[in-house]
Amino acid sequence: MELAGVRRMFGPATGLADLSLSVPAGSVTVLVGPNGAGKTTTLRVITGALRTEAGTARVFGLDPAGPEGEKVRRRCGVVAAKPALYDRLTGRDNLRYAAELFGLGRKASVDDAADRFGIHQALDLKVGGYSTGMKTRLALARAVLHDPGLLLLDEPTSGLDPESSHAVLELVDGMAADGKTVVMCTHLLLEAEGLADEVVMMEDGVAGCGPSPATTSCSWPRVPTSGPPCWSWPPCSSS
Amino acid sequence: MLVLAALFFVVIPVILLLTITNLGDVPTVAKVSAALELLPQKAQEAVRGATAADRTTYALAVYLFAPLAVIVPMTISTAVGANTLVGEKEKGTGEFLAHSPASEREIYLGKLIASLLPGYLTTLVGFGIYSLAVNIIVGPHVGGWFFPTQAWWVLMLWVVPPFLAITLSVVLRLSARVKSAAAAQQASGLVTLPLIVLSYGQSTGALLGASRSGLVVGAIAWTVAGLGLMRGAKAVTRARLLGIDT
Repeated sequence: MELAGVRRMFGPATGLADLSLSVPAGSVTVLVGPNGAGKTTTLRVITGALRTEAGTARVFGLDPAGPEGEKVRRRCGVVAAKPALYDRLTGRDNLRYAAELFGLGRKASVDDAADRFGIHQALDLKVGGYSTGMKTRLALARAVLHDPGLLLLDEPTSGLDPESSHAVLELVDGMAADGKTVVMCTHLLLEAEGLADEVVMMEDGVAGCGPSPATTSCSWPRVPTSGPPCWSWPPCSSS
Repeated sequence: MLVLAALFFVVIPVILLLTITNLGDVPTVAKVSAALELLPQKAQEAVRGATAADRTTYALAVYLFAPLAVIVPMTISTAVGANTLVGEKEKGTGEFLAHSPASEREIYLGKLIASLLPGYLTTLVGFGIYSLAVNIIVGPHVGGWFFPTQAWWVLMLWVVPPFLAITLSVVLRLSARVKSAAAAQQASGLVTLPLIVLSYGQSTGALLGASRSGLVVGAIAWTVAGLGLMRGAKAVTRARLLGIDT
């Protein structure tokens, strides 16, 4: 997945400003930055949900906002900042609906996906009654239902307690171990520890690294989770 | 939906028709019968019945309730359609659709069908029950089962669907553009009111007019509907599903 010189404005506000980013296949890239840094916009550009005003985006070698965008989206699994589930439907119906949209039909392994994320026992309950953690798990199950090659996670631990957050990050780590390419957004650098192959610091729509802003991402070897929590950049335990 | 359809297609017509057939030739009914002379000549010739009461019930059954067949589906489909796209935005599920492989045209078509079917199917079922009630109540007085007439078939199958599609092409465009479901409902109500009045007039005219007028009105409506739907499809974009209007 490659973004080169991507710009996206929202009226007078800058969403992305000449963002360049490269995500190798099979890697875990974490986009870190404050609110409004452009993390969510980046994910939306990757799937072609938002068009760019300048620059190019290539995902699986295709332009996601072009005529072949459908092929790109068919290979992407997305967990949005809000789980984006249908509250009046059961968990099972939410997964079935997603399966239909992705062209899986009845052969979709709904139960397997739910089982993998520990949500199977609640599958026949209406999603409106789910806790935030259960919704996140269901959203994760929905995102991997069609076995995507690229997973895009937008603050998947948002609103979760520490224990649930840890569980979700373990699930993400498990998906990375399965060889998926993962791009995750967070505003907590701590969450990248032990998970990220690469961390991209973002602010005001550009990717930067360390004290001097740059237009490329920063390589960052995996940091052991046993180390002290790191709240700063460059990461203390890797220096 | 069901209450609205039951009220317009069953409750009100049955009460009115039963009342008139049981009242007989009282002066009020005679006055209504006299008013039938205001109908176009072709419509007058089609009115059956030996007495004033019979002619009045026949005319009411065939002509008075015709516009309801247009109003009911439009009301129901507008209510459903107004919420479809803006509802996805409000609940955040638009994000899921925006990232899905479904094309914008497919999303629009899905919303159109989901809005059109409840109104039209409710109307068809209500119309079936209405036909049954009319034939049972009025039929014995005018020489047997007579409803639906040829003009009603044209109205239900050829005229009503395109008017419904025209209305929904406007409603879905609004739903894609506004920020809240409440705004969508209010705007849809305002915008579709003239359309309802227009279709009310056209459908009544088609029923009362020459045998081909319904076909002509329907053909024009289908053309307008086609153009409206093509333009409406462009209102659905992934950015709008995300709640971004640029």
